[in-house]
Amino acid sequence: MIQADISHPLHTASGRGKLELAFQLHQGELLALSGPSGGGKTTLLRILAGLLVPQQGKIQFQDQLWLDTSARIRLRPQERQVGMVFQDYALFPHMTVAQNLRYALPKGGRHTIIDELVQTVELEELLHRYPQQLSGGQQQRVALARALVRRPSLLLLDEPLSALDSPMRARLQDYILHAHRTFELTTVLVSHDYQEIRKMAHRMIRLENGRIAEEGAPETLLGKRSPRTPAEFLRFEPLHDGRCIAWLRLEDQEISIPILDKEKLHWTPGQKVWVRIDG
Amino acid sequence: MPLTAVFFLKREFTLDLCPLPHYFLFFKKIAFLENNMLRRGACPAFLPRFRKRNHLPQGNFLCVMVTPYFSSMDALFWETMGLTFRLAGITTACLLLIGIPVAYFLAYTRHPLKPFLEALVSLPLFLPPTVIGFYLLLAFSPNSALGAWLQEHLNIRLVFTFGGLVLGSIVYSLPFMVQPVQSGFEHLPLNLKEASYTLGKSRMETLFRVLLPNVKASLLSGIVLSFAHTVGEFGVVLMIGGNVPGVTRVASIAIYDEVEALRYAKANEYALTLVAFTLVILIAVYSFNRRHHNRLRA
Repeated sequence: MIQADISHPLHTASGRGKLELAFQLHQGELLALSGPSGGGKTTLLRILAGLLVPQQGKIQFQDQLWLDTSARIRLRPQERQVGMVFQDYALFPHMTVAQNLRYALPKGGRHTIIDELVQTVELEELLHRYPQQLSGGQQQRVALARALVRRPSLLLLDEPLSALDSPMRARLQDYILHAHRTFELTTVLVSHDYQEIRKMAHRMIRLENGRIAEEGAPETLLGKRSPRTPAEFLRFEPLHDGRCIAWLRLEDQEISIPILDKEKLHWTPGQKVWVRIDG
Repeated sequence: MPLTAVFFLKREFTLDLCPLPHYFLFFKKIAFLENNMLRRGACPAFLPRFRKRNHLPQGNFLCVMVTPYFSSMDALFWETMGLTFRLAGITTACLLLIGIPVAYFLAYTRHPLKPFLEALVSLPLFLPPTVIGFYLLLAFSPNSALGAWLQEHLNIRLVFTFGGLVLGSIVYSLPFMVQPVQSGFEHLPLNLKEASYTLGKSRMETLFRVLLPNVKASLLSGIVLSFAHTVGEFGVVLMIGGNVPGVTRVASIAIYDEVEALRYAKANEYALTLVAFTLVILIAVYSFNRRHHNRLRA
């Protein structure tokens, strides 16, 4: 169990703010952090990892005190049992995948953990490649595996899937969930994607301007997923900025939805399509 | 065999101004004569005897070039050259030890004194070398407090000695090591360092296994720049080292000295050697950097 109580100034695009929050994290829980950018999500992760020392704060991890600014206790990242996956992966460019993984192995650590992780995230083929030779999804898998080599208790994921397209995202979500269960992790995931949060998180916290705006189970906060309903596609309507709107008929009503790239949708007028309306 | 041609050839061989291109042409001419003789039906076995009889050097341009060119250089030349490269080598090694920590500190610190320190390190870039040499001379001279203390307690004399030269060169070439390495560190994504920390690696291990291998190109240019800069320094050396053969007389000083004495050929030996050496080093560095970039881009 993790108990954190943190206060730290934030410098955001909208001016100065303050990150001020207290929360608990249970063992084995997967917590999602969401909210507008500049809300303090990444700052919070960095404080948990020990990369940033907050102005004031206390973090208790099980029976270990990680941080207590009033008692001048601050464990360095090396002394905390954390694994972190960065938004841009932060793989070491001068090492191959295998070397990246081996680098993370603590002194006297057993090599079997690496073999196990390589199997879990299916890296066997990529072991001798350099990070520059990998796709985004492959790099992400390596970063995830590397963060787990040290067998951390707390896994921190900073928007790990934001740069990937949706089929790849779905697969990587499964990898993360699988690792979360297999290695009995407590995980904090920063994500903007409500689908992702619904699929993965046990609990979510929405941060706004450094404070907890909402907290609770994803289902209660985001609403249950509504069932899919059939609709009839009518036409595309181009917008000025290159995107377009699709008009659909849904039970006697015409509704419009924004479409990013209509080339990917091979819809013809009159065709039946499935829509899901989220709250 | 036209005797006049051989006569002129021999006269050319004794000229020693700018010998290298000269020798090349000289051997070209010998080869031309010999080819002519062979075409007219001379026996190939006769050719060495032809050269011997006319007191022409045996062998080709490459193997003969080295001998006369360097044999004309006396012990003083080699002493001076050796001293120059020893000074540059020792200075560069010391700068590696000093420059990497300084660059690391300057790249990552948020200390309020950082601009002050950066200015201090870069100072030798913008000052005339004689200014630095002058103050070092004042500081090290036995009449100053520091110089007297060093002489009395540690029995170290830094004025007009090789040790003083090394110290002066370190001060003078410091920015050439610190600046490329610092900028290399600053251009690395910060999260490489942080990722290494969250993997449980200490600062030292991170520095040696993650940061330094990723600034290899900057490190190389730092080494080459400091080495070349030390070889080329003149003002500092002249001020605190003087011109003591075998102790503080380096190539740049020797060139100046020889020109003063109107021994242009001697000055040319030093100058030409430096040009050739520098060119080779620079070509090696640029080709390494190109390969390095290509690899990173691949």
